[in-house]
Amino acid sequence: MSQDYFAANNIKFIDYKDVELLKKFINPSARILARKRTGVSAKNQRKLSQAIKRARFMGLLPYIAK
Amino acid sequence: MKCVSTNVKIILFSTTGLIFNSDFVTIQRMETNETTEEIKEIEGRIYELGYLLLPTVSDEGIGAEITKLKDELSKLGGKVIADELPKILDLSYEMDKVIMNKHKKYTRAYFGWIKFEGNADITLAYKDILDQNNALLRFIIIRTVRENTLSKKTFTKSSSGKRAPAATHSKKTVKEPKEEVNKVELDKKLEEIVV
Repeated sequence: MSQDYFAANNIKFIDYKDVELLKKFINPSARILARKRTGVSAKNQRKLSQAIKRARFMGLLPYIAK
Repeated sequence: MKCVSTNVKIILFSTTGLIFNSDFVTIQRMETNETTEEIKEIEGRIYELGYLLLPTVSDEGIGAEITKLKDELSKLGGKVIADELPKILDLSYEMDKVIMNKHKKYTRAYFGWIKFEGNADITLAYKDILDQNNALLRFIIIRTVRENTLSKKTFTKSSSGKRAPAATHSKKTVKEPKEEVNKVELDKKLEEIVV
């Protein structure tokens, strides 16, 4: 079975507003988890990091957490 | 996919002169719908505006701001597909905005979004208008899809592909029916024991 969370859940567009979903892919310091850890495909990892960065810009996610 | 045929005449020249002169040859090729789809896409691209309104805007003012944003968009020729009313939220970090030459810091804001159909020119003109809107703390315009992009809450798998944390098995505490104790009987039994 695919390790890719987004493929498994049939998510084609990763929305930056979906904060609860994005929070699963950042660590306690608010850094984006590596592909090694997320297990998603390279294409989806790029989309994921784009979405997290957009959420950060809009203040929905922190850039850094203490 | 459709078949496109074109008539071509092949003539080959070299330094010495004419080498080959063919009659008209019909070349058939399969043309995909990609080009037509591309044209369609350029005509009606889907964009999304996400915005943060200043917390100083009053509840009545928010409605006015939204209608203002939508009116400006429709004036430019954009078509609103979907939107969500702004909700107040705590920002993850402090943002500042220069108002009247003074930096003001905000930790809360109203977050809302508008999904619209338009093209690059409309979006660029809309961005210029939004830049001058003083009620906006920050905004973002992205390209998106027409369908609802917010994922449903049904997750079939853990996020990282790792094994999901084992559910804490709460010990089943079987509630034994409490026997009702008759106080009078209890007193009698106690007296018997004492005696």
